[in-house]
Amino acid sequence: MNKAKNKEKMVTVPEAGLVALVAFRLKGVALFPEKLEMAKEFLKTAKLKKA
Amino acid sequence: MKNFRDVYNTHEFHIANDLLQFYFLSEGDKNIVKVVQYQYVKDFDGRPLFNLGFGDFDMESGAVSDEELSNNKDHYKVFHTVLNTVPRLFDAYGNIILMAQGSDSKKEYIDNCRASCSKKCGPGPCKNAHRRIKIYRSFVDKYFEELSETYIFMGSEGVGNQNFMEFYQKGKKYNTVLVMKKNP
Repeated sequence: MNKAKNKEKMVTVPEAGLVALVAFRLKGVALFPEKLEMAKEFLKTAKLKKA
Repeated sequence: MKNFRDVYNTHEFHIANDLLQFYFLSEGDKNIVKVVQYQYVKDFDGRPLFNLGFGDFDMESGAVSDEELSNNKDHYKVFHTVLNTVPRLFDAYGNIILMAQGSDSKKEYIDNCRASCSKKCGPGPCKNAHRRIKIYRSFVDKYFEELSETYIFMGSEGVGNQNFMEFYQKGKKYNTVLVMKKNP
């Protein structure tokens, strides 16, 4: 695929509104609940081996 | 963390006691909004522990996924951009622990991968597993001496049900990496 065709397929992101959009949709939302659960599960049996 | 220069501009859009969030725009065939999130999990060894999350934001669906494989050929730039947010985490919360794990290290991921295995892994280890944490480990291994001037690293191989965290040793195949600041 040449560059011209690639450009046609590019998605135009409205940079100016992006901060507001991302903040509106994601602000304060815990986005990776599975990773949080994975971390909690790991920490249940985690111990520091300092020696 | 290493002060990389070829990075995207990051925007910090939320900070609370338990959550710090950034986004940046990966540019290429498609512009992709990448989200970096540090979330408090629990106290560990007397300090708040935050978990690193990173993924793509789909503006149409509103979903965030850490399983997408985008093809903007900017992997290093994206990775370095994520790493450049780490100092801000320590600046914001002080004496905390950062934990990094890969979503492809989950048992469920490995089980699902085995069910549709295309790499002929057989009974041996899943070849698709642990690729994400390997990227972080490779970075720490490469710059360990330099990074150790500022940070303390620990690692866990997570063998069986025992998750012993030890002081990081280069070359070991840790599934979990902890990062602390030497002088918070």
